[in-house]
Amino acid sequence: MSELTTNEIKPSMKVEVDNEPYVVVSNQFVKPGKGQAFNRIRIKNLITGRNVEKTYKSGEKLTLADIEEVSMRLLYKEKDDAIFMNDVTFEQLSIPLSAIKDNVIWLKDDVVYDIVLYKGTVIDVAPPTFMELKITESAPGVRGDTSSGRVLKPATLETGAKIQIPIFVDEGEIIKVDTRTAEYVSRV
Amino acid sequence: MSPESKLKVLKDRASMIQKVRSFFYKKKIIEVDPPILVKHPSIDLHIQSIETHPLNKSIGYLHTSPEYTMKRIIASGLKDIYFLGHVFRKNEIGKNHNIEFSMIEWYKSNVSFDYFIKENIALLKLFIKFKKSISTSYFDVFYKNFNLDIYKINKKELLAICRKEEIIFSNEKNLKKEDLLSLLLDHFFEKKAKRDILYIIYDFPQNEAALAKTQIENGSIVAKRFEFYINGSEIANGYFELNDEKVLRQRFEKIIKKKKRLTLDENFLKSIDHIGSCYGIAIGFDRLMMLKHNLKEIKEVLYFSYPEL
Repeated sequence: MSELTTNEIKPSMKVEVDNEPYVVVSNQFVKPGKGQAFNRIRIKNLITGRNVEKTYKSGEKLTLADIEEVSMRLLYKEKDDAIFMNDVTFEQLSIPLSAIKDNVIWLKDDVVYDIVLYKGTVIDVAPPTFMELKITESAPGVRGDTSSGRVLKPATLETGAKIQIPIFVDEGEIIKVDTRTAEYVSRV
Repeated sequence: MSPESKLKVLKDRASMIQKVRSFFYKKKIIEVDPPILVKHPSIDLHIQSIETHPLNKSIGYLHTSPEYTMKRIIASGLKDIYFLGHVFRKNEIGKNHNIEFSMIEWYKSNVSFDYFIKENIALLKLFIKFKKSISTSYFDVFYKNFNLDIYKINKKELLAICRKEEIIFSNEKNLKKEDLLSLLLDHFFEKKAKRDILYIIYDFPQNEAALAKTQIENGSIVAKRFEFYINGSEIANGYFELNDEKVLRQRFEKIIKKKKRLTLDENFLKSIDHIGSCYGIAIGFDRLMMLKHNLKEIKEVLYFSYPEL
């Protein structure tokens, strides 16, 4: 596995620390007084999402993580797995829903996802930032609710995601959703 | 940063260079511009000189500060002098660092510590306002803020304090006690120190004496070295200058044992017995410009930082 020294490390690089994959958030060169130089490197765990800042001696080496990123289209979902296909190589990949974690609520056939593999194992299936999805279930908005300041109502989308939508939007409509925050953006 | 505000900063840069020069002119401190290209590297464990090949196969170096040549000038009889110009340090690039940067370095003979500090405060005030200055010994910074005795504490106890301060290391094994102390000091100025106050830290541990005299204070040998910090930024480093060739040679030889490529500048060493009693200080001009304009990155006060070339 290739290694880089602290002064070659840049944000967005993927590194392996204590046998876990991280993405570099920032790298700050610090040289207190006339002493040894250090690099304060902030990294985010690609599996847990947790941020840590570590102090490295300048010149210390970091190992690049064995990370592969591919775009794949969801073909269909089974009981426990989702089957994806690479549009370029036509290669298929079956990913357990358990590995997709919270993003299972954004799985829709024929949509292209960004899949991240660490040492050949899927660690992330990221949906597009914005998706257009049909509302499969939502009670009609009740007139008068606006006066109490309550302008949103719960809704279930075709992928199973439960979000809050404005009361004027009805079941059966297609809406644009921000998958990062699970928030309603607009009608389509 | 917008191109307009950058131009404003660069125009002010020119005007501050002018102001620094007239500050020294009024005080009859003479400007010197010794060679930037020198024959020997700086003898320092943590500062690296940039190598060049100026004459056939011979190796030359870009100065990391004009200290050695200025001391030769002092020894030759020109006592009160200043330098304002560029210096170079290999591998130093970051938010607060650029390989090439501007330094104000100056020396004054036969004055007291208090007098020299007062003169430097007047110089800093050309750039920035601060409410007041706080003088603390190196020992007291640690004692008062981290409740630790720098002489008694061991590495394990220091690591525990670092952990409490959320300083996490990639590898605790390759760190020395002095590394941890200097990181804690940096941490204090960055995270804990009060804003808009000039901190003057004096009396450093003996092993950080560099080119400063050592003396016994309260039963411990300390280096007569001092540093200035404002708003988390280290802006100056000064010495009550060592003027003893024998002691300096011993210090240099200790460093050369660890960094075998370094060569001694005999002309400089021979001059050191003749510099008399003087104080000297190196001040980061670019850092002062950053503070003056409230900017977070050194490249914002430079025409072009090294990565921008």
